[in-house]
Amino acid sequence: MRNINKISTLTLCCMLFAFFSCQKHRSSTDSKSQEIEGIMSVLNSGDYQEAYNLSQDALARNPNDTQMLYWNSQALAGLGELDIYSLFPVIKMKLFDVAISEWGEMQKFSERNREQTSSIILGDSISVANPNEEKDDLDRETARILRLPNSAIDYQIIESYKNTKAATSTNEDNYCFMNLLIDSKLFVDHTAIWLYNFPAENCSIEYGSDLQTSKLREMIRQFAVLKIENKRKKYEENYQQQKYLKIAFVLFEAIPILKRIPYFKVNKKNYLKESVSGLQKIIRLEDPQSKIYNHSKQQIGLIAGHFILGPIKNSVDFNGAKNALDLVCKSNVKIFLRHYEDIYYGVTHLIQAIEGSEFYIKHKKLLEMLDKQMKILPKTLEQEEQDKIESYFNKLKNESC
Amino acid sequence: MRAVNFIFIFLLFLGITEAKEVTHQVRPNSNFESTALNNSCSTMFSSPFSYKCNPALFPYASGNNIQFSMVGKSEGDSIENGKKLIFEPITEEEIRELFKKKSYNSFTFNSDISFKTKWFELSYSPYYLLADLAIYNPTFPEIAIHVVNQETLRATSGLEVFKQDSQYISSISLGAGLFYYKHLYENTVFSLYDLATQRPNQLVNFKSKYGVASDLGLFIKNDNVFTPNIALKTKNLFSKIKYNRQNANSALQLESFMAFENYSTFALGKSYKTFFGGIDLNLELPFLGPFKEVTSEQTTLGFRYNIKLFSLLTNYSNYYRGVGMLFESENFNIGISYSKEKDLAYKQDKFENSVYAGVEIVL
Repeated sequence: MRNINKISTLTLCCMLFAFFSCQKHRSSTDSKSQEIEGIMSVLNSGDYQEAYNLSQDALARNPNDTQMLYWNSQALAGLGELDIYSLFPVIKMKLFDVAISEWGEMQKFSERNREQTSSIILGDSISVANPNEEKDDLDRETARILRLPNSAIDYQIIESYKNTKAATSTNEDNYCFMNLLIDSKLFVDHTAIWLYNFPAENCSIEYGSDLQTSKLREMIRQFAVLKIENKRKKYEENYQQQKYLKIAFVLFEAIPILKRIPYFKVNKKNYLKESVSGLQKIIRLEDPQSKIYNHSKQQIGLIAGHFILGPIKNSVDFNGAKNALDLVCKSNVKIFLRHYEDIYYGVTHLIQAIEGSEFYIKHKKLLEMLDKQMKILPKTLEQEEQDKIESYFNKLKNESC
Repeated sequence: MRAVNFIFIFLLFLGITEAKEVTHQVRPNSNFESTALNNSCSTMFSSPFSYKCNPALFPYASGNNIQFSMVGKSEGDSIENGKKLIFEPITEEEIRELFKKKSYNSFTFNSDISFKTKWFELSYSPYYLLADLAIYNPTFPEIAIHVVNQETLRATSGLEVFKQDSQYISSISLGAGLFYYKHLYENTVFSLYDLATQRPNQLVNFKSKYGVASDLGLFIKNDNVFTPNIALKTKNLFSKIKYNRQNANSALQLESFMAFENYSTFALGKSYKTFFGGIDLNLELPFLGPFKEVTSEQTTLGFRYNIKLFSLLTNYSNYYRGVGMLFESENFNIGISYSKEKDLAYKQDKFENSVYAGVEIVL
């Protein structure tokens, strides 16, 4: 019996041995995954040169391998010393100022801020009166005045204008004055205008026949239209000034964040450009729904942003800025213009990167216009043009600062 | 005898295979003991709660009781990093350090309420929580997360099907557990840019799976001093949660292993009662699926020393080394274990130091 038990135990063990030794071992991870693991490991440790070398070897075997292109672009971005963390505060996310436990609230705040900032910069801010409405009003009034019958336009000679306070500041001896009486909300009754060339005492005589004819009325009509046109130009100037002032204030508020933008390193920019080329190739080859496509687009946007903001950082002394005007007064436009080509590169690639995004759809008209402008603008500026712009800007500085 | 010894040697020297998965010591239906032993306990019949490791050990767990138990990671590098990441503003320096030293962090927790009789056990686990987070690529940070919350309702039973008065194959027992699970999970990768520009609930969309699955176990007891006890078990049979080989091979995605999908183990072990206390040894070899593909690199040796109210528990494998202590009283057990672990196996450079704590209230 003991022998039977021994034999049965041994038999069982042999069967188990045979069973398990014949089981398939799990297949090894494929060599490509191992390669990627190796690259990721050196990327994480900050050895970008090694990561670049490894990815280049893989791309030599298969130049259209989008995964390897992606890691190659990451290595190049690392070699270009792109400081990703400094760029995040610039888009007002403030991740590093609040704890993750408060991100819910922060996200709402950031979204509101982002909306306001983009609205102000792109011109459809809700806090400034909509200029299009005002322009439409002026257009309507102009059309209305042009349609008015002559009987709706009248005038009144003011003989005694010379003695009024308004008259004392100019040499009104040779001018006729009249009140323009025109049925328009832009010209309130008794608004005084003057037509000159005749001595005042002769106004009734000299204009006599004209006063009775439609010729003068027509002149008054055209004068009113011209006045509206001037009003429109003034309004547009004021609106642009308001916008620039708001942009200056927004930028001023953003100074603590803008200070964190890394300086633009000219000797590293070619790495970043090569990185962007790789990412663009991925976008051409990959499915738009894939993560790698989206991440590539996002990174192009960030690198493009660096090309725009880095030169600004190089050309403005943010440390010395105490008010919004200092952003103009403490800027060095020469340095800024030296980086024109880089800014141009940044703007064109940024527009490409954000195409199709929610932000792009919302501001499509303006961004398309900007894109068209960029196509017209030269990629580089000649020295002569740089000098002209520099001179204009210095004049502005002298007047404002 | 020689054949048995040959099995031991063969198992220890099976070739290392490669994989990209994440394993954890705290698994669904774990208690403190199985965690401290890194689930290498399928033959430890003398432990009253080892049927949680292998349902075939149910006939050896005597008594009726109601039990509340919790076990989870309470301290360690991951916990520290997690606390900093979630409750304090993140700084750039911390992020850079995370990339260099600790790009992978994880947290696990299991809780259980059970009602046990001589014939069966009913248990409800309201929470099995698992959170794995890994970050890659400092130039354009990407984050892989795998988050799970599993709720289960389980019935377990076992019986001795063969018994003889012999030193060789003295008894054979079978056991089974049947459980309903509700599995909420998300396994995704996103960039830091996505995190900065979208709401968290847009990035993390929990999906759910519901179903019924089963654990089956076999235990062959040998009373001979040198002949090992043998255990076979398969876990999560018929589970809808599958092992995703594509994720496992992906460089970025995290894929859990030996937790929710069907896997099996083969174990050899021995228990000795001495004057100075009881000693249990167990060598466990896991397989993917129902004994389909062997994963020898996860072979684990478990050791338990027990004297009255105190147990010392240790485990050793390629990727986990731990030592723990369990203090037992009539109604209350408390345990603490210290562990060095590499959840990412060979893809993790350094061992993470972790502390697990467990509490059991037995009524």
